[in-house]
Amino acid sequence: MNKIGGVSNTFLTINYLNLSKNFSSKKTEDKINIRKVWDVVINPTKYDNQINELLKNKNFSRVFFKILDEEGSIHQNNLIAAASENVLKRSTEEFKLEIIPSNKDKKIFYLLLTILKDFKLPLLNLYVICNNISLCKKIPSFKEKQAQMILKKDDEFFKLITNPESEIFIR
Amino acid sequence: MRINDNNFFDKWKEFSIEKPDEIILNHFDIVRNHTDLNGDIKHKNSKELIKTFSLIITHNYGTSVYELCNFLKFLNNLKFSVYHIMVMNSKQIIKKIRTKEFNIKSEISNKFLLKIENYSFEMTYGRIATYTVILDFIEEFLGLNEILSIEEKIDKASSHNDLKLISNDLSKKIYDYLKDLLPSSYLQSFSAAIGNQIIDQKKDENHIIISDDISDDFILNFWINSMSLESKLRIKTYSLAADFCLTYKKSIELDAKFSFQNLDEINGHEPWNYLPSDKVELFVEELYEETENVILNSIKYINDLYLQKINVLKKNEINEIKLFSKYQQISLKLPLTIFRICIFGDVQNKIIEAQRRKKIGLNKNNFFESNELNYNFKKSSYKNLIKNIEIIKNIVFYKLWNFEQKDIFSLICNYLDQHEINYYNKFIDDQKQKLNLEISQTELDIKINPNIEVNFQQNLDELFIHFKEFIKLENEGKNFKNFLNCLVLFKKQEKKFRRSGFDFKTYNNENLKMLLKIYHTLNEIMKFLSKFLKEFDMTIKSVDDQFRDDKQIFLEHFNYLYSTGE
Repeated sequence: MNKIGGVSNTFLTINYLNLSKNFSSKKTEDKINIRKVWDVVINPTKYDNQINELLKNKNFSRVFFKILDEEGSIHQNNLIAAASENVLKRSTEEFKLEIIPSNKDKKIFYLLLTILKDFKLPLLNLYVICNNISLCKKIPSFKEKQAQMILKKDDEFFKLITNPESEIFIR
Repeated sequence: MRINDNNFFDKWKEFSIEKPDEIILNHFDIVRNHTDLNGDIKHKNSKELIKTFSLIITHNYGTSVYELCNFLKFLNNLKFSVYHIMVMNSKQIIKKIRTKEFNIKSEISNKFLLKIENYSFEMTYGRIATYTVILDFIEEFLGLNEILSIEEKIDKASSHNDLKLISNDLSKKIYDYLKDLLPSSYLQSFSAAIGNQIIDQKKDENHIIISDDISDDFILNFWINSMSLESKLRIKTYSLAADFCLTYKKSIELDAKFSFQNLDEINGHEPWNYLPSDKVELFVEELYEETENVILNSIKYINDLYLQKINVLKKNEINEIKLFSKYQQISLKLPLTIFRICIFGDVQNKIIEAQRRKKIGLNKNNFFESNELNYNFKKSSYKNLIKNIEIIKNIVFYKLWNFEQKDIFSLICNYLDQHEINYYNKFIDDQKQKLNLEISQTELDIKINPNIEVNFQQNLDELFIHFKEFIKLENEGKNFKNFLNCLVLFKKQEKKFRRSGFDFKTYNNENLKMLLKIYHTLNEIMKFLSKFLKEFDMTIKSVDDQFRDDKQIFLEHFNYLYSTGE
């Protein structure tokens, strides 16, 4: 734009400003933005049914885990000297994770999550992220700092959590 | 048509696939409703929000985007993530930075400094509100992905040149997005129609458009012509046609005032710095006329009080002056158009309503007769309003007088005759000697003599009491006869005056401040209305003749508009 459109542009601007005073958007905010990411971080239960869908969005997932990382969640990086086979045990100073096969059904596994430290915030979800794919599973209530989940061998979540390249967040 | 040697339509897009009016307004509305982490509205300063929106829609964001990049680098150096910043309001951000800065420097300043290598950039805390708004608009226009990209680039930036590149890249992306939305084909068609009519009337394609081209007669003709069968653009109501023309007139004036010679240094000849940075702020301010006009704020203040159930003016009185807050200074330039909007705009609304109720068969002249609508009637109505405001001002003054505070001194002279002013000056001189003060007659601009500082405030507080005693003693009140009569009159007016929420009997600082503000606000409205009527009288030689002629034209046109398909 240069000066030739000056009058018309000013004319448009004044009209826009006048219109904006009483304008109310009919469109609800459906775009993924920073506030939405924060809302999911702060109110995970509100998004129980949407979280895995949201995590499919790469931008959402990038910001989401960045915030989780900075906001005092429990985190474990991908494993150094990653093994080629599935990893069924992982532990840090903060938690211990163990995946045990069922005696009755070979396709069923039990995930035992043990928290080793005290955390002020409630730990509600287990997030796994690897190569831009991320998934989440709701953690059942802890009993004596331990929670147990059932995993199916064919599930994406099982594949992801046993992948040594995966990062884990608990929040 | 030419403006400044170029065809005004050269760069206009004549077609638009979507409805840009709504898209850009949607963006604005979404940003306006942004919240912080506590769920409170993030951009509480609506003026800052609208100013920044103005910068964006006029393509004047280049400098602000550059500042924003510097700000983000500063935050990056402090290890503040953009993700946190974007869910904080400006006050929270300022508090966070101040704390960090104080820990480093152990001093409080209103500025902070970014340093990279040999480059430094100083910013003020006051600008942070603008940066947060711009950042939100960037996210709104370009998406979350862009925010991620900015964060990464800012983190890697290690020189002034890097920041300039980021800033230019960002401005270009905003420009690329906005150029498809602005200008809108809907609004530009009105702008083009007005411009074309000016050229048609001047019969000169090279005519350089000036503000005076939009006159009362031009506006009336524009409305009539817009409804002709040949016209592609039909503007049915006179009020809307006048609205567009008055806005166009204001645009011509602003464009003439801000036409630039030198582009901004930072971004050279880039299109996102339409005006140089030193003119942008003034331009944005003048879009609202805040720098030169107080009538908008005055009317808004009285209306806000009304909404708080403090009825300084009645609802119908406020409605009568609301029109001026829309057109402000331009009202004084085309008072006849304002009268036409009031009278004929009103009649047209009534006709439209009658048409809706299928009662249009009535003689349209009845709309004037039954409501006594004419210019003289409207003039008297404004004059009555001025009288009423004068009475309310008197009452406010009387209430302030009873508060017996020094703050009222600046108002007293408004109620003294020349003889009394001489005595008033004598009192002031005596007090100056007594208190060893430097006091100007009008503003009571008091400078403290350090030798008597201890007793100063006490003496100053008693100034009003001394003055009251002085009036009483002066020839037993005879030398202030006029003023004392005024007080008696004001007392009577106060007793008769009954209005909801308008009490202020108890002295306290809050009441004192509010009454003083009401007094000055009413004074501004009164001054504006008087000036408006004076301009009208100067423009119109014979009010009756003017109304008769106008009525004939409007009736003819109303008949043309509303006779078919009744």
